[in-house]
Amino acid sequence: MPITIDGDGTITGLSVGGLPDGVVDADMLAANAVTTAKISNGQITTAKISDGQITTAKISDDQITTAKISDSQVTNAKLASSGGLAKAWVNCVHDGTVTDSFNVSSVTDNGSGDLTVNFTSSLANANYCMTGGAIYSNGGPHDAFGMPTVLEGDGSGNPNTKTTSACRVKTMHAQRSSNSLNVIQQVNTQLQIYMVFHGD
Amino acid sequence: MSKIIYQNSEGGVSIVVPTGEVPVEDLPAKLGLTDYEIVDDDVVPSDRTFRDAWVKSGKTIAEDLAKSKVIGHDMRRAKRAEEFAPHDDVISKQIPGADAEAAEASRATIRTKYATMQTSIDAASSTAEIKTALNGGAG
Repeated sequence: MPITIDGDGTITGLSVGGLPDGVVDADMLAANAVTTAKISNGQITTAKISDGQITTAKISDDQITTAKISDSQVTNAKLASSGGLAKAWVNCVHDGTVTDSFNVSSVTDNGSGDLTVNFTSSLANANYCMTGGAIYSNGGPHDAFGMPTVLEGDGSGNPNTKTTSACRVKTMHAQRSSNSLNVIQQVNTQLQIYMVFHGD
Repeated sequence: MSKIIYQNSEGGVSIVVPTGEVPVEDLPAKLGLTDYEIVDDDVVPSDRTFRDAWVKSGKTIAEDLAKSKVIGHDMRRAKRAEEFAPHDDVISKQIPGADAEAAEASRATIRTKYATMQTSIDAASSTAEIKTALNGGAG
């Protein structure tokens, strides 16, 4: 087909590939000429995307899979709002000595069977619940079972000791022999106390 | 590791045991403490027999003798009740075949033993003497 230059400023007769490389530069392309359909997947490499172009809105929910999240990205701060996870826990003995813990800065020994668990990071409110148990043994197995209980304000002027930053608990045990509660036995050094705190 | 001791509002002494998550020197402010001492572990007595009688004395912990005697009497009553229990059962339940008179005689012996213990505790001039009395010796 002959190439014809018309008098109205148009050229006809050019075939695909008929122009030499370098003739069609970015200025010759209209802004709306490059549509998504014109870009093949293989042309979009990571290097072609600047960091600022990937906004949260550009990532659909189903693109964030568990495999895409590394362990170190899941920090305690990111879990703080999850009501299904324990906000603090502690494994200690009667005198406050801690075997292991999480989000507990210290344990205060106030007296026999009287402990205060102090949180490192405060909970959102004081409506949390504590569950726990204790082991007491005076030498033989199954001598007694122990239990911690939250010590709240008693309405007689004593302060509420269950706050966002700390929780005071009383621990006691029931002995098998008499089946009676006996807080005095709390002095035994073999007691192990476990407490877990769930809340906001 | 160090601990923090302070006189609590109930007249006793509280001992803060750090976990290591927060430096011990930062804990007083975090706990709202103003009058406290940071002490070595060995300042805290290992014998907790009279734990509720502990009082803060400067940078040490002492045992209040009067409070220790109250605890000693509680322990005496608990031990006495334990010894009374089997004889109380015989008498109160009138268990057939059991000798109620022998049970009452045993109760009388126990009463005498613990009356002596009571006197010894009252007369004790140290917590060591209270413990001796609780173990059946003279205070």
